[in-house]
Amino acid sequence: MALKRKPSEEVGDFVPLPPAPLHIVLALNRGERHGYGLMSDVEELSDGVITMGPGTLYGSIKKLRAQGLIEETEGRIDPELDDQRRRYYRLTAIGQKVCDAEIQRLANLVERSRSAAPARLLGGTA
Amino acid sequence: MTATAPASTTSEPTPRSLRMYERLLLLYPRSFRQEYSDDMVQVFGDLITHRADGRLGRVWPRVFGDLATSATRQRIAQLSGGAGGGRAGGWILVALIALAGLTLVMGSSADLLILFPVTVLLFLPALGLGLIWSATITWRTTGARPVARVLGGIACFVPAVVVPLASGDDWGWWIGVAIVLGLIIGLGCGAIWGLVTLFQSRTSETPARRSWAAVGLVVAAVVVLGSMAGAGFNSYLNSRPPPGDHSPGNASAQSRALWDAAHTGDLTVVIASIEACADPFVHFDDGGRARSNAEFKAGQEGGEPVDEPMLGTYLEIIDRLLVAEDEWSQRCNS
Repeated sequence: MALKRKPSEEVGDFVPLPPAPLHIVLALNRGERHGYGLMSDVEELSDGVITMGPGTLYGSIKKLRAQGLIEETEGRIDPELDDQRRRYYRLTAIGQKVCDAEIQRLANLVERSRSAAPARLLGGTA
Repeated sequence: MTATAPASTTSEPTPRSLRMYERLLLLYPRSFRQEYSDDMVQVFGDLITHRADGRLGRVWPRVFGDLATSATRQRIAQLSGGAGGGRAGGWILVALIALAGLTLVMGSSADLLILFPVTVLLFLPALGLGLIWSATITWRTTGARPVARVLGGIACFVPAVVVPLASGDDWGWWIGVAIVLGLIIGLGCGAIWGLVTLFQSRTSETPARRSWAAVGLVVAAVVVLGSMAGAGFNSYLNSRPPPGDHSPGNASAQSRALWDAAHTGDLTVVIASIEACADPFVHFDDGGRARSNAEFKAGQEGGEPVDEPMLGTYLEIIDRLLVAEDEWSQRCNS
């Protein structure tokens, strides 16, 4: 008897993603990335707020792979870094849907928050 | 596609720092290392090369913090059924059983008669739930080998076999204790499983799964706390001195001293304490039988032999002390 569950195909089962996986998914929305590229993109996307070490990075990658949200692609060399062969990752179809859903959720959140925020926070005179 | 690394000055990672990081990766479960250790070392090297600005001190604090949190998370993930349960999972199971045993020790003296409603309505159903969880956590903890799973399941109920065998003549009562022990072990394991599920739910689990884990944790917490409260209440009842005036010179002072002696669990202390009394309430005949003062004076036979190292004997002595105390009071009042 296997206890492992089949990866869900329901976007709602994954949204909202925790911060680290969320930023990894958002980084992969830009295209394929290897580990260090992901780490760098996450920092850039979050203005340096989200920093992760190798353990957190690959722990999240492992989880996202198990959930079927990302997949490994063909390994290759990144000429901008060095001559080491690296594993690259990309979003799966369901991963792309989850990413889109997260972007929409965050956009709605910002929009509604802005409508309720005092004008001084939006550059007005209040 | 290339990384958008905020590279500053570059510095090559020293072989020593790479070797040290490789060793630290032993903190992670084997299955995780096999899958990602090379990549992690590679990223660590990238960090030093592109972020350290020539100073390792800028990278290591970040790496240590990351190690502490992510290695713990991976170990717990392994415990809850991740790939490669294996030996580490077995040790964790042993720790869980020890934890559950501690719970039993703290709660075993709970007076189930006093807590009868709680016992029927909450304690036993929750223990049954714990039993089910026990099977689940055992299954998940011991990894992919069926034999290990079976052995792990049996391990939860080893006490149910060992305890009655080691308990001598009073095996009937101890079988009941052993069954409760097995159930409480299951409860402890179930509580840990609930924690693990909640911990993991931060990253992956569905709301329904989180809710069930939360409910299970609450039940486990209530049962454990209830058991401890029962034990504390029972302990309080047992530690109360006999009623009466315990001031020095009064008969109850001797009674209290004997009561305390009885609670040492050492029969020789009890007898020595009784025999030290100027006017002992209890007398011992040549056969080691205890008799109250009235029985002694009337020449009646005593009760249970006092060389039987059982709690019942101590309680018998206490009862006789109380009877004798009444007799003493009546004599003083007359």
